[in-house]
Amino acid sequence: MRIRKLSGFAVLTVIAIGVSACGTASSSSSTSSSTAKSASTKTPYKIGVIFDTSGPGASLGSAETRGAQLMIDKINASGGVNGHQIDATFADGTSQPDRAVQLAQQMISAGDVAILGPSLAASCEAVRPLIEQAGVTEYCLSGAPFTWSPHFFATDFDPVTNLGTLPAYWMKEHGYTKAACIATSDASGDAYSKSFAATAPKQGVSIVDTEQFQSGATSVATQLTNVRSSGAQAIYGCVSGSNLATIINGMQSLGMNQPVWSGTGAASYAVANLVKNNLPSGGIYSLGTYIVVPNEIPANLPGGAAIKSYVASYKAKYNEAPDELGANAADAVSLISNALGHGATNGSAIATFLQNLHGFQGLNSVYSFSATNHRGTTPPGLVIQFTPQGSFKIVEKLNVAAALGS
Amino acid sequence: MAEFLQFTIDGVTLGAIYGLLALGWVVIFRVSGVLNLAQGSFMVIGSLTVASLANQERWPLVLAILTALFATVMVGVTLDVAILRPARSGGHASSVIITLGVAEILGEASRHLWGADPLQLSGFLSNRAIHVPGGATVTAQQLLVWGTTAVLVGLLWLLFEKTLLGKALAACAQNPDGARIVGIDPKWMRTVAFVLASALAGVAGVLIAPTTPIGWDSGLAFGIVGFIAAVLGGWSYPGAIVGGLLVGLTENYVAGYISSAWKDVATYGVLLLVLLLRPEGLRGLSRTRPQQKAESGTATAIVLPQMGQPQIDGPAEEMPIATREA
Repeated sequence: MRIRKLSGFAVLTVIAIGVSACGTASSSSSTSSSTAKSASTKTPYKIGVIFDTSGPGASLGSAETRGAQLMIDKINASGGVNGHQIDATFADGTSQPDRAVQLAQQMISAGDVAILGPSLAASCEAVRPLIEQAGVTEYCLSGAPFTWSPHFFATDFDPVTNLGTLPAYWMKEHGYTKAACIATSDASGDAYSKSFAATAPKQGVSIVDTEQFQSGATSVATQLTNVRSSGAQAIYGCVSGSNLATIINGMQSLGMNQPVWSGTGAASYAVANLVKNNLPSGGIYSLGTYIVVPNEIPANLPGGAAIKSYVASYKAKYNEAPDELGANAADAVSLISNALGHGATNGSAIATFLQNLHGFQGLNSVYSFSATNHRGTTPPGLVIQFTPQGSFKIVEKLNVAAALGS
Repeated sequence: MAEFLQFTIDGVTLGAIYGLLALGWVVIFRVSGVLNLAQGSFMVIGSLTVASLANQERWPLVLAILTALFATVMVGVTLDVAILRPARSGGHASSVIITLGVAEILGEASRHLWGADPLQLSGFLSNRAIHVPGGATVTAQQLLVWGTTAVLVGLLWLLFEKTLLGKALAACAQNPDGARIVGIDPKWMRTVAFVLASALAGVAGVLIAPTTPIGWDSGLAFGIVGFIAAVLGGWSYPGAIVGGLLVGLTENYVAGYISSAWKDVATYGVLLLVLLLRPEGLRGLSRTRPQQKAESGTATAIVLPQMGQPQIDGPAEEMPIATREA
């Protein structure tokens, strides 16, 4: 009898924990303009936000949620867009395309004029037919390669340039003519390895070995043993997230010290903290933006003050340093609110406005869109190095024009 | 030769971790008939707990390790006492569904507790390469994994061979009704099995924590590899370790000599072959007398071992699952 009571108590405890967790999740789905609504009598602008805060894309969606929420709060606190609050409905896409479609249908039915997200390419593509049919603008948060359609926009820099041309150009500039690519066997790894394979030969860099491993694998020592035998002078970690740490751990255990070029998806503070004790003597480098190195922002940098303000607000609110993912989401909010502020108050008008927008200063880039370029970004060419303190420092600025022209 | 040696060293390290997970599967299954798909989640909780306490909260390492093991054991005991015990009598399918659900819940709970980013324990043993004859390298952490696994296998042998508790566990594995008659409570023996299995997973979690980032969603994949090792090992205790080593070595040789894209194909292919051709796994390979084949007719009968094996490596006595679960 006592055991049964004990069991019952434990079950109730588990249920209570579960309920509290569910409560947390549902509250994040609530609208974010409630506190400021009373200050404005104008009808709020409704947008939907589908970020993947659970499932394999959780680390992306969590950072994006923080960045978007911060920017929405800032806009609403300053009076909204021409007096209209932004009424954003946040929802978890769960990294599942079918869930993202379900949520997008609900948001379109609710009258949302734009949808930010999802975080993953597959989910973005799944949502695309719906938004095109309904005439709602989608601002996908994936940096994967896309073809463009009228209402479909995406974040980040051109993948071939960012993942292929510039890393290969950096290797050429440093005299590394033999490189190995170690990639995850998923869409992200494919994007890196294919972009690199397509551009490295043009820069005079030969790829002497390409290895693959499953994202989340605990060891890549086997693949690195092959890389070690290949004579590669530099290693391209064609990976996102903590997979870079798995590579770095393996390199250390095998006594490998080649310079490593990190995929941009791994250049976050979370990963920098994972690898800070195991840095190879050749160093780890990647492309970055000033978001991750706010202390090195030049005094005359356009938008520099806004970046510093964003970083300070982010640290104050979340007690951690921001990375590019959150800034991409914040930029997406700024772009949509800019369109709304210029009278583009329905999905098709927002898409048309964005397509014709030039020179918009965001946190991660200056945005200039066109009918054939729905990213609108130009990579700054900043090369950052991972430091033993778990942070980054700028080590050089690549000549992007020269890289693209060569 | 250097490559082969390197693949072997890394394969043995990975295999030792898989072996510890497989031992947990075997302990629980043999004592209670429960297939615990949350076994890998126990390991992840051990890893995340020790990494967060030692790195972020700056706890002394030993205290962080002990707390991680305690937390892992508590999760295991809670699963048994609060969830499986009231749900008893549903058979293997029931335990699979329940523990699968628990694995999912533990994964999401871990994400809420520790965040979406993986954690790695730093400041344990050096991960620097030690060059060994033959051109390969080994690390102090790898040596610790090997040594700890060997010690734990020895302790388990002592437990099952030399202690009353071990004999009581073996009695429950062989005949729960008979055990009950002589005053052994199979319910509590199952709880003891969960304590052992979750502690083994916790140790595996602590051992792997300094070598790789562990994320909240890693549990199920680890658990399934542990299951494969247990099946390969014929659900015997020594077989679990050998099965783990075989899986680790197979993964590394295939990834190294063929392609890492075929690593999982090889692992699951070996599992299928074993299930089709030798469902009793490695058990009995060295024996002269023929082994009884598992009853055919259901998938469960093919995958699961013959029941009742009181000795640590003794021959199995046939016991239908229906009787075992009565």
